[in-house]
Amino acid sequence: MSYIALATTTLGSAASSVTFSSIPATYRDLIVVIDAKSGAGVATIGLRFNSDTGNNYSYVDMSGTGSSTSSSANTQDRATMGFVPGTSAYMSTAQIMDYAQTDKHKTVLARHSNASGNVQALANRWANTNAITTVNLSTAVNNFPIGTTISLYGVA
Amino acid sequence: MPIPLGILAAAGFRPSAAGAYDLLESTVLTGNQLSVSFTNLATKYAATYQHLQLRVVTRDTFTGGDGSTVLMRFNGDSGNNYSFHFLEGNGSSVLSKNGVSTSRIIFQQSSNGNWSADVIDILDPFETTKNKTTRILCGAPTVPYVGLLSGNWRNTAQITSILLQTEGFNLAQGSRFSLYGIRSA
Repeated sequence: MSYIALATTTLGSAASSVTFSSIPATYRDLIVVIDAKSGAGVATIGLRFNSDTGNNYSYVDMSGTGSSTSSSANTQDRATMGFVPGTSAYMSTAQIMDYAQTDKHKTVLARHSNASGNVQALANRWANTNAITTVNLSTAVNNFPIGTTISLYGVA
Repeated sequence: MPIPLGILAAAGFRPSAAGAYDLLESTVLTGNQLSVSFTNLATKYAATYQHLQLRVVTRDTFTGGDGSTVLMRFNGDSGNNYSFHFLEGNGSSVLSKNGVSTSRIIFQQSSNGNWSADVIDILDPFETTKNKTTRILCGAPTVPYVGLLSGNWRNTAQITSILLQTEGFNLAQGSRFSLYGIRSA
């Protein structure tokens, strides 16, 4: 067994932030999965590691809306799992590669699908060689809706 | 309000018994080198696994700029028996590229001390009724680059080996290549 469910929560109330803590260095990669119900738009789904709120993250994204494509890149205070332009249900996954390795900055690959908005692929870097022990997910505006399921998996 | 969550996988946590996704082999480079190979795959895994997945974190040793490529070949075939298609974002625009009847499948990696990552799915590698299809999610955020790639190897033989080789400078120490199997039902 190399793909292990570590933690899952289904929100009983709307929340702007969810944190997975005390993550052991047992695995090779982590995978975060968000399956969100429709609700007030959240703009950006952010990821932070080890409570780092500095501008130590960078991303590049690729997006298609059905009528156009776009790509952007930036350095900012969080990694990005996806941009949610509207209020429809959405799903995002993030692959946090070599999360516990102390010889590398951390690379995060993400895919996002929004029922009425867009489809995206993203690549992020956290410029820190520390092992990741905490993963925080947050919304830029509003909250993750009630009923949203967020899961953390470890890959051996 | 943040909701701190504990972790289920503390000592004593028991995952479900019937797993379908297994780590088969993993290599972390202890020095710089040109390539990595996985061999004898059909012999070892065809009876048990339906699909393969490679999870890769890599960079090359070039320090004069950021970005190079890694090639992937099967069974030592260096003939023009591959095709690939990219959909990629570079931070300012989305591009689509292809290679038709080429000698390898390629994907992006980082250089200049920066790391990149890839998740590579190889579907039905041991089926002898199909040419082989691959799918890659590739990210080199410092280049900047993110890509969705598809690859095709026009050969119905079982995949017995996978070669991953840098097309730039050597693969750097610390690069990691892990092979996983997804079980047949």
